[in-house]
Amino acid sequence: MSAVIETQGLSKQFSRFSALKDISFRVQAGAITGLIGPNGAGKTTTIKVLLGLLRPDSGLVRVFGESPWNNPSIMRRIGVVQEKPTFPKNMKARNYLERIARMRGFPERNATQVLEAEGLSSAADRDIGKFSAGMTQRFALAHALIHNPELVIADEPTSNLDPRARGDVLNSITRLNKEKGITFLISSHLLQELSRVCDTAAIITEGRVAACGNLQDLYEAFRSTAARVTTNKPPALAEKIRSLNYVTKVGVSGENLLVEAAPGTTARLFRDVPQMADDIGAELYGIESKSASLEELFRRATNVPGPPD
Amino acid sequence: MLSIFLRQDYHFPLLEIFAFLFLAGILLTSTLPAGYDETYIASSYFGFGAISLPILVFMILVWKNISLGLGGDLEKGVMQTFLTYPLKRLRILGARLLSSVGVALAVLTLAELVVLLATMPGFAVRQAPTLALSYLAALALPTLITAVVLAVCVFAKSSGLPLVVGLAFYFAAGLFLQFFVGYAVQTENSALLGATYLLNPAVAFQEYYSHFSCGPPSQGFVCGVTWGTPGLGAAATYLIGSYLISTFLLLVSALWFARRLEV
Repeated sequence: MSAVIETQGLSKQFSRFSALKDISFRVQAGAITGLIGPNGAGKTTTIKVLLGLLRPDSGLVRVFGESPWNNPSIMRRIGVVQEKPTFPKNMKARNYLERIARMRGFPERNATQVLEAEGLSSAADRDIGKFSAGMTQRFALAHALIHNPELVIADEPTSNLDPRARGDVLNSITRLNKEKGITFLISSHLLQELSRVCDTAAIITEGRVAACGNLQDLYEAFRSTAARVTTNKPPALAEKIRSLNYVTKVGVSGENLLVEAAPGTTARLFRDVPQMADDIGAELYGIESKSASLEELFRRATNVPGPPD
Repeated sequence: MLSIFLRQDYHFPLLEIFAFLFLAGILLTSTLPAGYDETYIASSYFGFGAISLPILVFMILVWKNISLGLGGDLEKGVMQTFLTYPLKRLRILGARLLSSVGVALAVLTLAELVVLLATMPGFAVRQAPTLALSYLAALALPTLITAVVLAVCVFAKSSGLPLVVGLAFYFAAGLFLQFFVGYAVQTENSALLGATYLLNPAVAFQEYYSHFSCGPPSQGFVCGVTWGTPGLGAAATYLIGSYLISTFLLLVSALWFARRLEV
């Protein structure tokens, strides 16, 4: 797959504040990529650089192989959902989208189609300024899709939406990606949501990419090996397991042992624990691995401490 | 984009309608003064001094449109949306200015022209060159202030500040320019006089016509050359200079918008 977006060592400074220090990641064609990070991490600044709204101080930025700064021609291929979508307030939704469709060289009927797809048919002839925050967000998505873009860059596309509407937007993204092959770059701090739709992710913190790549690979690279072991002799087996040099933590809860070990040691743990149970004559009822959540992955990648046990 | 900007600027054109009625009222009820040389009357038709009232009314509309239109778009984030369209930035700015400035200026010029031709066709035809020159001179200072308003808008990315700066510039010009001319003539300070003429060439034309076309001596007009009275060529040079300053400011703002503006 070719890279639709590529950044290398991107940096951006606002007077004395370094918003971006070293942003390097790629978005492959046809993928849904998440830009994950806490507020103030640099997600919106990165997106503005990708859209040619901000000029990077240094580093390489390529969107469809071209620099986005002062290059409006690439915007023919891109749909945009801004963090705070803003449109002329005194224009009717359909009327505005018809003009945008015409300006982009598409038939005006596209306006009605995208409004219908986003559930805004009944509000099509209302002033955009009278929309609720959620309607504005859905209108922004309709606006981004009016010219059948190859790439959609969406900054916090589910903010201002209630849980049901969030689900609808995420379903739309998945459907558009599968049916039309649209590539998506989505920024969000709502990790649960992104884990539902993203294939790949770049985790940003304090203006740097802490980790990036395939979501499964990231899970593998950053999660600690965690397993639940069930036995009839929990304290004795816990004692034995603690002696393994790659085990970092063993907790006992009734018949269960919660074992945490260094990354990449799952296979060794699953081989050593049954052996140890045999050695002390303990019966092993079960051993299963615990998968890391995206939240945990994010915490580990950005070195943020997790909740207390 | 122009249709979107027109819709934004003139969605409820109440101010524009009132301004038009106000302007038409002033123009239709005004009469030409008796006893003056016709060329002098033509030269003062569009008003001397800082800016005549009809022109001021329309220029306030222009400054309002630039400040709240372009400045508002920059301040509220609508410009971010526009800049994600596959359009050159200069085209977006051009459409914005055409809507904010072009339409108001066209209405003003049309109103002045229609009233002039309808009420005094003979005078309008006979004095066409002087009327055209004095109209350009009368618009020079407003154009300069408009260029300043635009520059403040683009650099400050704000909607309120440019309007305040524009109005402050206008009031300062009204207060000080005539005073500067008087002071410069009294002290024979040619640099100050030149700078004043350059900022508002209408004053240079006023000086020229009041001395060469001559108002009635009973009104205190002095005919012939006195110190500081520019010739027609010099007045025209100040006029061109003034528009060049405005053009320079406009170009700087446009280039900044096209090549450097970050939103």
